Amino acid sequence: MGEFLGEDERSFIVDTSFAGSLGPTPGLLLADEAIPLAFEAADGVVLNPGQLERISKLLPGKTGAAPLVRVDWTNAFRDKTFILPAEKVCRAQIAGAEAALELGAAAAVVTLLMGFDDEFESQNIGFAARIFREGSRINLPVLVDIHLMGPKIGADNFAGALGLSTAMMVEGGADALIMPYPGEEMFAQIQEFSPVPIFLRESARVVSDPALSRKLLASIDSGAAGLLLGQDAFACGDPRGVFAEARSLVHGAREAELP
Amino acid sequence: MRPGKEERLKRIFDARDGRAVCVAADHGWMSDLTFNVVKLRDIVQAVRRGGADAILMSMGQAVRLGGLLSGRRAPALLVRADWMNLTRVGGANELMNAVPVQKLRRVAAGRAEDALRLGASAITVYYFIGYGDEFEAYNIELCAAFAREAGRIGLPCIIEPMAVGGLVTGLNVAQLLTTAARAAVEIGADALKIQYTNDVESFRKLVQAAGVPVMMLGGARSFLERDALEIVAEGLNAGAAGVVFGRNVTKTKDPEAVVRRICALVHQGASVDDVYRLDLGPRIRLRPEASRCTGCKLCIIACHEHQHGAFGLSRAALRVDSKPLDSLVEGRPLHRPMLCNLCGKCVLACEDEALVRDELSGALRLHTAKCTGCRKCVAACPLVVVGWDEERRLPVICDLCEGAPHCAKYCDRQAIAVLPAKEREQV
Repeated sequence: MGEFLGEDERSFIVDTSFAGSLGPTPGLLLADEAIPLAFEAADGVVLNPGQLERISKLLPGKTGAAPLVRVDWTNAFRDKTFILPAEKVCRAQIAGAEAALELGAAAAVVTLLMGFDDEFESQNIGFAARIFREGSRINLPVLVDIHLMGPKIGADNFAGALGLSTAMMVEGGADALIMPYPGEEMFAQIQEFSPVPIFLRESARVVSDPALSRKLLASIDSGAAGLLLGQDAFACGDPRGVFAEARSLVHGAREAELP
Repeated sequence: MRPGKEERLKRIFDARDGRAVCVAADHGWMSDLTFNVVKLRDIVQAVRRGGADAILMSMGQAVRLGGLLSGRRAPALLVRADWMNLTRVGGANELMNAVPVQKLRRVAAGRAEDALRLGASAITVYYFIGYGDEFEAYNIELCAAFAREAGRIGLPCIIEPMAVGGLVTGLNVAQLLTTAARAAVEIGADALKIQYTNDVESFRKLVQAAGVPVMMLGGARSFLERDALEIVAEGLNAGAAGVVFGRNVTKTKDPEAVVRRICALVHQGASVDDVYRLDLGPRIRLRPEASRCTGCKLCIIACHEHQHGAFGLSRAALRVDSKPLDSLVEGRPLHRPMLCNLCGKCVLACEDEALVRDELSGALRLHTAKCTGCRKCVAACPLVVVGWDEERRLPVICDLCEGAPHCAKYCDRQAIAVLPAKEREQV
């Protein structure tokens, strides 16, 4: 875990693995140019196994971010605007913890898709559990990327579903969690329960919108271990600037500057 | 990338230009018994003579015919590690669909380790997109498993994204292929084998998105060979690292010639017009028949005349090695024509790239404008047959007289034999 946590026990993570399902999204067409930007600024970068192996020679090593390997694939993010919208949400295993370790990863990242049918949920949990066990055997941390998005999820049960997901994953053996911010009350409850670091998944607006920045800082103050940015950070036109700002936010340098 | 993978990829992609000409000969594994399946042995031999960089075969054929690809200069072996029934989906077709099927299916047919044992330089697997979410997820999982296993043993994994099924339309196919190309790379493809998107711009974007060598497919058999080659030229222009041609080679009357034409496009930068303008007769090599040589040196005079338009002995690209009479040993020839054997040492010695190998004829070609007159090629020739033209300050190299060597033509003792080249000699 120390490979992608700063000395302040916080971490700024960038996710590039969505290209495995969505193809070359804006800003990420030229992976050789875009991904190293994330490695310069972040503490951890989530990559698919193939991309990590391909791009490894371009990475900065110990002066840059640690690579984290996504071990599964899903079409869940292919919405109606995508060229091939998902009609049925599916997922597939693309690597294991051992393969991630062989690739030099500092951790494996597993996706938990909550809110779909029972069978799919149990498959998700079963897969995560296998990766937990495998990671535990080889001392590789496993992060769980929690997505609440199925038809069973609504505004009324969002926070509760996040609490349930957190509980199941912590019990299962997750070493860290990635999740959306569930609101102050539920986050406090999750913090109280969860013994593992929690990274908040946010949009790139978090660095440009002072209100969102303040909210992020407050959540970090209340125990969040950091921030994860995804594809919109690459699409904004100035990913280098966004990453630098986000890093400052997470590691405290910008706190005094905020209005 | 692991060293094993890098080395094996170099067997497929020519280190000089990073490109490859591959021939897919795995159709019998998935479709009916057409003549290209029946005559596979002959086709593989012809493809090898044509100079292909790699040949794709099924596991079973790799066991039987893999021996045809032995030798350092032979095409690399690619092994198809999965099976699918796409060619049989749909209605019956008495020509190539004896047992039609209703659903597209795909299964793993072997392991990367099996392919490695067969001497393969890579495995090739399909990735279907557009046939349904569950089928795509299954494809991703299978491809990833192959990529991981191949990666562990240092074997490159070539993924072949195929946009097929009810969700694919003419409007979305280019974008789907681009998405699939990137997804394949994300899960572990070391190179791609993919259909052309039908326009240069979208294919260029696909190549950029992939970031690994992209080989374009020949696709279904083209009515005209020239049409297929025009598409190759477009693809190369868009950044393709080569081609994988199947039926457009294996179903033709002369696979060797077709492969040579593709090689000229891919490796030599020839235009389609060039390919057809130039004589693409069989490639040749020269072999001395020392027992027939009388030491008359007519071959040298003929070469001098061809090179300089005048008879002489001083500026020819061959010589006759004559032993002193007192060294005559019974049964051993006294004279031996010393001929260029295309070993390529002169090409390697030329730092100015003035001396190159002509992919079409197989002969050496001198770009006089690039030659600095350093004479390194002359010094490098182990047979001492690279001559020197002091007047023009240029080396005299054997260009095989555009396929009709004068030395052989004028030797009435047939001491110089003209033979078909066995294979593409790599310099």
